[in-house]
Amino acid sequence: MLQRIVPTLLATLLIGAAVAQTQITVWHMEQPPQRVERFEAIAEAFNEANPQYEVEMDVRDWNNVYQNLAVAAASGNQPDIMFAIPDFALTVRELGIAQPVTDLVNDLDAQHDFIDAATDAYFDDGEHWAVPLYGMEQVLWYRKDKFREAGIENPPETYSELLEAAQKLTGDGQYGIAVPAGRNLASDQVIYSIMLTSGAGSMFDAQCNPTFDTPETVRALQLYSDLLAVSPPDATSFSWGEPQALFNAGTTAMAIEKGQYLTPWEEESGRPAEDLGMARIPVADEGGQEGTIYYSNGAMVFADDPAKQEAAHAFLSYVLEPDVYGEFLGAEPGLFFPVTQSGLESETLWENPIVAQYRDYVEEMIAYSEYGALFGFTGGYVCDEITAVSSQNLLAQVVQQMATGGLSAEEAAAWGQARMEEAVADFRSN
Amino acid sequence: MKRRNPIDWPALLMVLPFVLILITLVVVPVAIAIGNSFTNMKFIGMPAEFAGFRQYRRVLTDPLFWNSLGRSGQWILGNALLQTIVAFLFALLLSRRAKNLGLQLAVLLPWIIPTVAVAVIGTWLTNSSYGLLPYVTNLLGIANESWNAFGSADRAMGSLIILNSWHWFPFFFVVILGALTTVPDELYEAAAIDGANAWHKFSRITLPLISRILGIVGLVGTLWSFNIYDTIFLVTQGGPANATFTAPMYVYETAFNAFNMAKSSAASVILMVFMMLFAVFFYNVAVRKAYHAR
Repeated sequence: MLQRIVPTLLATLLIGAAVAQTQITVWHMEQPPQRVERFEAIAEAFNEANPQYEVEMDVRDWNNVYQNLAVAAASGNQPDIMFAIPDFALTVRELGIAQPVTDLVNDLDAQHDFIDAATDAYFDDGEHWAVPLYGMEQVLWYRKDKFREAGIENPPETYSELLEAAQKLTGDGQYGIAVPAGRNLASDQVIYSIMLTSGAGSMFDAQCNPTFDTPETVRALQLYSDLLAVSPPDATSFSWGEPQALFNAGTTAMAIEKGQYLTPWEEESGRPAEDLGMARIPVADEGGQEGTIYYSNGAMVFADDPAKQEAAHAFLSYVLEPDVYGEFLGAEPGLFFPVTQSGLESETLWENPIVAQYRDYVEEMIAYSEYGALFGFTGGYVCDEITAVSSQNLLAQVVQQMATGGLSAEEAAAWGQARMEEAVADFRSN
Repeated sequence: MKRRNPIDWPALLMVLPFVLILITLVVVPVAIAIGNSFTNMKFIGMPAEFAGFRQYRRVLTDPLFWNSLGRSGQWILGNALLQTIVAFLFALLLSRRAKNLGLQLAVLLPWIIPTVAVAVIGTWLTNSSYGLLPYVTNLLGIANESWNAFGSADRAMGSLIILNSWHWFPFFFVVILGALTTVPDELYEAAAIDGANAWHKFSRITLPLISRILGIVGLVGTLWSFNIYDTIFLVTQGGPANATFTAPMYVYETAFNAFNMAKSSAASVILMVFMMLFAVFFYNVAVRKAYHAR
């Protein structure tokens, strides 16, 4: 009897161990319901195809994710994978929980061919620290119906044309444009896009000292200040949502933002797709250059257990398989851009109804990403000091100083330079 | 030989749970904060080295800290004055109408609204695109263009004080109303016989008899107001242009946005010392003086 039971028990235990699931948790900060649902669906499909793993998606809020992560890391309960953006990844690395993913990135690069800009931002100290997943960039959105009413034929291409159009479109409760001036990442990003088109994209020298106060920055700030004058008075509290809501409601005629404007346009504005216009961000009249903020969102791996690392690598590899990847990017079509060559050719991406409807715009945005840049990651080097600047939203604070602090563009540039020097000194002296 | 008092073990046992709770929730966190302030810790849970008084020097030489302390002064003063005056007025108006419970409950309404809802109400009411206040002021010709109460550095602090006072004045109303009911009617009747007018009754009877309560309300209200963070964060996040960046905002920003836990802890300890000194001073000067004046 015993001779039969013991082998049976051993066999059961061995089989159990063989099919035991490795569970991993993924934190992401894409809170809109359609993005949450799509990510959940991708994870479920992965779990079904790979029963040895179980991926659980956990959505977090960008505003307090760092505090959540710091507390979780202190108690050893950090997620196994977390989505991040480049400057945030630098900050997270200081927690000491990030695992390099160089081998995985190299493998995936061989299979899918990453866009260099997507991987460069996460390459530091000889290692890759995140697997790029999707790119984002800003463009100028404009309402063709409002432009027609105002007799403006073409979208603006230069600062003076942009300002002239915005002024012409302002009146009778309507504002030419809505630029954000809240103390938040949205304002940081819009002012940085304008700084890029003024030639002021490099905020640090090779020694990572701030070089903010330049004539090009002053020119960009002057334009922003002028645009604030034709923006709604609430601009000082605007983040991402308000300009889009006002744009769709017809209260404003232009906005500088990323591709999330595509999906809700027809339903929220009540206008046909043809009335939504998209153009490159206007450049300075003299010496200006093409530019827009561009950054790739990447997945950092915190799992240090080999089994969990294997599961994390398997999941990220699965996401980047072209057919799956197209579905993944469809979580927010037009906002999430492929960061791999194989992703660009993914059928499921181009079959997405929104991408298919606005194919010209999506293609143009992908082409435009060639001019993309991100603060702290220009010049071919990474400045850790950017975390001191971006975490305190110093660019947005500069904008606020002009919007309501009474500073001119010149004074605001000097104020920003001083604040950045203080922040960097503080960062270095800790 | 003097006999020592025996230890009252049952009494000690009964207060032990409270002492343990106090140690866990107050003494330990304060001790951790003090400990962190002498290190170079950047984030919670990160390894850190002893740094002596470096963080204290950094805080005390940081203009942003002193500016935020100045704004906290404005915040405290504005809230204390507005809340006390409004609460006093309502308490005086309604103290003689004790039967009108409905009115008293109506005054209490803002107090029971959650802070998040108060913030949303405040920002909606004053939104320049769809807010009721800008609409009405435009309609009445008081303002001829759109305006935003929280969007201007000149108006933001005042607007926040009004919003916060509207939220919290019912608490002071209840306390003052309670104090007013303790003043014996006979005193007013005697004063009336002596020919005292309303002002005399207020200044010679009401005010002296409730001054101790007012002193305590002032102390509690000041400490309470000083520590308010949620309303400011939800409505203005310390902006625009740092116009509402008070000391608690400084502590939060330093810890969770500038990622400098040690410096933030040092600022917390400094503020704690300030507030303790203020409480001792205020209690000795205002509350005890009022008590002895009775």
